[in-house]
Amino acid sequence: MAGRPAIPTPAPFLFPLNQCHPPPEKKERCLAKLTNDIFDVVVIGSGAGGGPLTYELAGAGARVLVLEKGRRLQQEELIHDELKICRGDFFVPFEEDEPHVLVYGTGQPLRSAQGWIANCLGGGTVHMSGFFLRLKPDDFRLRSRVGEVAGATIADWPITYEELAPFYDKVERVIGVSGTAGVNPFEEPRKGPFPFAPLAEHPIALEIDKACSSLGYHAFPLPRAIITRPVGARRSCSYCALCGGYGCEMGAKGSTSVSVLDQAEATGRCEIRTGSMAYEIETDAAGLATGVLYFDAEGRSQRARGRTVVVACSSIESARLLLNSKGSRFPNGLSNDNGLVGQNLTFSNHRDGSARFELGKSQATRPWLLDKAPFIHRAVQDFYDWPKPDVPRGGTLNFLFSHLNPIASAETQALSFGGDLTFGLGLKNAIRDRLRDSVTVSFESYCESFSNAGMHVTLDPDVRDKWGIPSARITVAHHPYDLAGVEAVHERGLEILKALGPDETWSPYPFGESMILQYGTCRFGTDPKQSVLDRNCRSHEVRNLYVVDGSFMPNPGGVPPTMTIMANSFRVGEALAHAFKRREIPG
Amino acid sequence: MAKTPILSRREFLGQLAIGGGALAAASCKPRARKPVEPNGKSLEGQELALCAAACDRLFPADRDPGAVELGVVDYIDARLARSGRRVTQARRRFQRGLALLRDWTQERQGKDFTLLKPAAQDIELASFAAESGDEGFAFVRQLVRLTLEGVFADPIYGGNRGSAGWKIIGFEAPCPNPRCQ
Repeated sequence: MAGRPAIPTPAPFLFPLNQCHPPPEKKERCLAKLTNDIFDVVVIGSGAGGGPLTYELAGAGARVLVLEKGRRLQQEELIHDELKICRGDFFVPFEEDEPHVLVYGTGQPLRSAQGWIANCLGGGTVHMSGFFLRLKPDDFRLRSRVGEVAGATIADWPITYEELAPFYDKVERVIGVSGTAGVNPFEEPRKGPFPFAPLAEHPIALEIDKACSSLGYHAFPLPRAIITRPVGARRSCSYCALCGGYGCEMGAKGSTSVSVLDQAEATGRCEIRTGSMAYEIETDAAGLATGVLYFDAEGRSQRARGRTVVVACSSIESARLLLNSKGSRFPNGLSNDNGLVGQNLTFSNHRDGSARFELGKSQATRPWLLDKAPFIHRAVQDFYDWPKPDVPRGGTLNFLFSHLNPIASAETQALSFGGDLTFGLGLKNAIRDRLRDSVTVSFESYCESFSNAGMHVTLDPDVRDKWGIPSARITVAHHPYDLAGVEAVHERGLEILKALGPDETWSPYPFGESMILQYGTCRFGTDPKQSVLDRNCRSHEVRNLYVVDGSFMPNPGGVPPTMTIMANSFRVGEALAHAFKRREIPG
Repeated sequence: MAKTPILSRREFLGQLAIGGGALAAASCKPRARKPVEPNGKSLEGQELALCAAACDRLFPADRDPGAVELGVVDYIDARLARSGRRVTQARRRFQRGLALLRDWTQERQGKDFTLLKPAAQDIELASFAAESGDEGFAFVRQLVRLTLEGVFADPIYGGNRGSAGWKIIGFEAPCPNPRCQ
């Protein structure tokens, strides 16, 4: 803290902040007296990255403070109300309040709310769909597998699949993953069955199995972070129709909030401060982190002191926080002497496809369509590696029913992705045809991305959020292999849909990146010149600073990141817990 | 992606929130509850009339109810009456859009939009969306969104009267929803 000026006056608010709901009484009781102490660990962010590590550390006896910018959602807020949950700022802030700046290639910078995942206790794990697929051993050695790729900055990971595998097991056990092992011929090495029996599936899953098998592909049941028998206060899935995009009122979905943070708080050693927006990590003259400055729910600047600081705000926001933390020792931003914080950004790439089956034609030829079960749960990984002879990496296809959100579904009939407008009886007929008289089966894909010098997070020189903190600028420029991989997988997806004999197939939008599936901005590696973090996700430059969201991952692989982020968070948490027990936590 | 999409991918995916499933029958006891939003009073008489006429062309009545019958105007009026800078801006944009549409029609047809026959209203709406410029198109988008929200949002917000909007597509929000005990 040497030479540091007084805590700055908070910027004036343009809007009232989200109110911070007081946590339940029992949770408040245990920690009130700790608040002015120096915590063993301060964790910034409570999602897939922050949650499991907090659980490990609190369980090992460390005193942990979690700073979460969002609110603690109350049980009665977890309702199926599309207008409130999906169309406002329930999970993601309005662009006016907390803008990102988005630049495609050399295009004009645009203010955008894209790049936010979820601002609430539990982060994106609250509204996730929970498709929990493991990475494959080769995903950990992309550079070795593919060789040098011109224009790409790909790298091997400093750890192997085998090192992470026990922590994938732990995610399946502690967060709760249901599934069927041993069906997918491309399955990663694993020890045994899933700890939770698979969810019931729609009979169309069997049709997809048949279609794939006739084409020479291998459909397999998709594992999900949804429990199928009660655990403690968590109940099993009720098969409601609105899952992804909503919080789970049953507690069946494995949000960190219900699966690890409640348990961490119950130890009495973990305090969670919601409504707390971290804006700077402080360091001392020796270059060690001493704590975190944040704005509380009332907009006052506060300081939290910790012996170790763990950053887990998402790949975009963690990079922004480090870049905004400019001490005298770190004029380029914290842990950024080599200029790599924010570089090597990637997203999971995709292009979706849909098939429509008219119900009127179904009675005789496809009686299975009339079943009302919500989940299909079929994925295909035949196109994961070398989907074409000249395309090194593809990804996973995931078949699912089109989401039932009525407003958004109707809106896609009125306004196409390209901006074409349909209204009047044409719109009404399209809405009835598509939403009432048909069932739409779609596929998503999660495809590899080749990091390159054109894709990164920086601080925007002009734009600030409602607190006056410089916003993240996200520059997107894909390597040609990204597009090639996605298109190769997309073709196969349409091929499978067509084999089901639908009345119509289409692709609603072109190739793109899933901005909620982010990676890479604080890459881990063995060489301090080529990476921000070491193999344990500890900063090369600041020896008591860790980053444990998707930032550490050199490449996405062909699956969604959430399970891997959680597994890695357990891994880093365990290493930190050992250090804590040996009294090696620095500070 | 060289072209800036009209609907951002995030909006497209986020609002669609892909990853759910088909209908599941869950039942719950409806309870009498006050609407969550104030009762209207953001738009004036003429604006309400124009809004009603335009919404009813976007989502007209046929064998199923249209926008006005479903309470869309009440929904929009209430939605734009909430407090906060963001809503205030949305209200101003909406009111300005209505004025632009009125002037556009007056200039081309010499008549108020509300006095035109439905077929002529359709032509004016389409040409206004396509030809009047960015502000006009943005307004039509806003109107489409608000209209479809008024048709398909939970009835507690004032539209989708008697869940009749949902009945058109055979949807009912599973419990818990804002009308559950």
